[in-house]
Amino acid sequence: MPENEFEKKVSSEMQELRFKPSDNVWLRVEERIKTKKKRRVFVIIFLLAGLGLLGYWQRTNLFGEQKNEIAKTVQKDSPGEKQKEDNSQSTNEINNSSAIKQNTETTKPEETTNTTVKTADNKPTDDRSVIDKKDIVVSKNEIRKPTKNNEEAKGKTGSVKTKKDPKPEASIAIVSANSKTKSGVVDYTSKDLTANPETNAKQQDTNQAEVKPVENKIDSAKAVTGEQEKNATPKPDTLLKADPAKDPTPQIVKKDPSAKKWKWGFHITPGISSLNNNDISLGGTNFADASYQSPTTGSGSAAPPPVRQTPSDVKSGFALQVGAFAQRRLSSRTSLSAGLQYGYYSNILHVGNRRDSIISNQNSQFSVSLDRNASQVYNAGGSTMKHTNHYHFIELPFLFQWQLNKNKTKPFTWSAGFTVGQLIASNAIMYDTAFNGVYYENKSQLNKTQFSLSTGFSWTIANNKKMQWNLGPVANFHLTKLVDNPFESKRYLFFVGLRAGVLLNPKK
Amino acid sequence: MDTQKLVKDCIREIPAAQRQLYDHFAESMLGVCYRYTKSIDDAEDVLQDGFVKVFRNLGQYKYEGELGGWIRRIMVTTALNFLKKNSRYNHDFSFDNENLHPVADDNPEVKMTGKELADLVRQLPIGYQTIFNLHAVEGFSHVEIGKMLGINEGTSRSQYARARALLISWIKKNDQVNFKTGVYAGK
Repeated sequence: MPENEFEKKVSSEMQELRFKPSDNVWLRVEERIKTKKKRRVFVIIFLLAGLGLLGYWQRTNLFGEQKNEIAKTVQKDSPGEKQKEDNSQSTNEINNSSAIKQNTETTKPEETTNTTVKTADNKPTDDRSVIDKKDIVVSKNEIRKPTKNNEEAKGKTGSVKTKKDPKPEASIAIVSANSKTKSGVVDYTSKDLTANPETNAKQQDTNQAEVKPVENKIDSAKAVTGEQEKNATPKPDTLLKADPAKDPTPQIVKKDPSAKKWKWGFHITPGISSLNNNDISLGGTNFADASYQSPTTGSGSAAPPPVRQTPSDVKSGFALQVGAFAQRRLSSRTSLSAGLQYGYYSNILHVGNRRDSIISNQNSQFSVSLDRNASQVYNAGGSTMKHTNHYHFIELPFLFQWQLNKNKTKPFTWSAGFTVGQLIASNAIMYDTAFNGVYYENKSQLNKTQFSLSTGFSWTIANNKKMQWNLGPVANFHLTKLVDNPFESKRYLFFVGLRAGVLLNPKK
Repeated sequence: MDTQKLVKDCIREIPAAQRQLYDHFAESMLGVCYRYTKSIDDAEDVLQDGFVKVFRNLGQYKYEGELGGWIRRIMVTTALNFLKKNSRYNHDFSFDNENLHPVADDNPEVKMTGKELADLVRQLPIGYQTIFNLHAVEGFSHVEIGKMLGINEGTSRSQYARARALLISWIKKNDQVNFKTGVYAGK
């Protein structure tokens, strides 16, 4: 045999070597080459989830904006406080009265129009008189809204509308005073009205006439809010009730006896929680600020407010969910779970010194609710103490789970659903504008039954015959406002955490 | 089979085309993988990895040469990577820098089938087996083998000579028992 004949023979024989691979090879190849597509799907799902969160956040913000508008018209100042304010401001009033008179007389129509536009800005200011008048003008605009709409339909401008007001003199007086105070010349005081009795009388009439419809508006807004809350809560119920009924998977379940069984599991979910504060993202005047921007009284003897402390910023605190759940497959890729869990949430406030002594004061200027149930009173606005609000809940989560991949041993699932929670204990303190702003504990103002939306992702990191270990982020957004407190804007609990769970596989 | 259309369809991730390409080459490529490994399971693992690479890199195929040759090269490369990474192989997958050239001028007549020859080659130590496959079956030069395995050309020659001598001796003896009771017995 010539040289290299051996190699040629071996090569030719072995080139022809063929084996039929098992079917699993192609399945695994197919699965792996589709991974790229799946990654795109995951990115889209994450984006959609982000958009959903953004939408939820925006919805709550808009809610808060409505609340702030309403807040501006609700004034809580007591007569005693006003007396103090009057005393402290009397000197300024005397000094500024003559200047106001001149400015009122020389007010031009153009200025009036411009000022009317400016008052719609809602820019925060420390000048109480400006705020008071702003509130009035804003309220008037709100009251005239139907008329305004009609005029807008006719193509008329806002300045023309002001002139066509049935009480033009009063309107001009308010606006001109506002324009002057805005320009920083003087404050609007009762002396001006005394100097022009006719205007003063009309001013009072205007205030009374305008505030009443706003109060009506508050009632209607509350009614709308109540309706929205009522409308919002049934949605998760329909989700829970509809899915098992509509799902056509029972036929599939029948094919697999193990699928009929409920699987039990446990989870622990550490994370953080906080209150969704509408004011932070809006950057506008918050409810507490607005509530002490009280209007002038009937006598018109208004004075700048005392330095009232606004509510503290809310910082997120530690949170934990621990519980058990039962899970049942609806189809090969969907399942439903229900459980019972303990939820602990917290958030952190900064408050001033403790002021429990004022509770015993029977002549205090606290709001009624504070007189009855308040305890643990702290000054607002300080940073001497860090108070952690603790909330302990017993919760019933109901989740729908959808497996996003096709891997049976290590599924990647997205879950969504709702949770009903009952507050069992809390030390939360809430804000009140009394005594220039205080925080106090009042459990009666806490909404003890909470509905929340839940969503999350879960990766199976280990899977054997006995159990399945899952890990993934979860988030809860409460739909029920946490505190029924008129001095704070609507705030909702939210929770973000990392869920570690064990699902026990039933014995076959 | 219109290779060009098939490749384009596979690039467009059409499942039917991907399956057709796989079906067309899977059996022969498993034969390649089989020669480089010690068990059919490992061979299938290499085949799986290799086809994943094929589908992910099919856009780089320039239609120069046969598609089968291009896929074969991918399979061989994948098999070498598998041997380097897999703990069952990488302990023995080392080459001494020795330049001993045993006399192996024999060219015995081979009356064995491809399967029998492959099983015989798989009885060789993994280093010998790899170099023998690369040189005798795939046709790579020792320079190319040296670059592929990160060894000297002389080492490749030496290893190949030893493998060849051992293989010829086994063929001559035709010791079937030795095939079955070897350390690296197949499935």
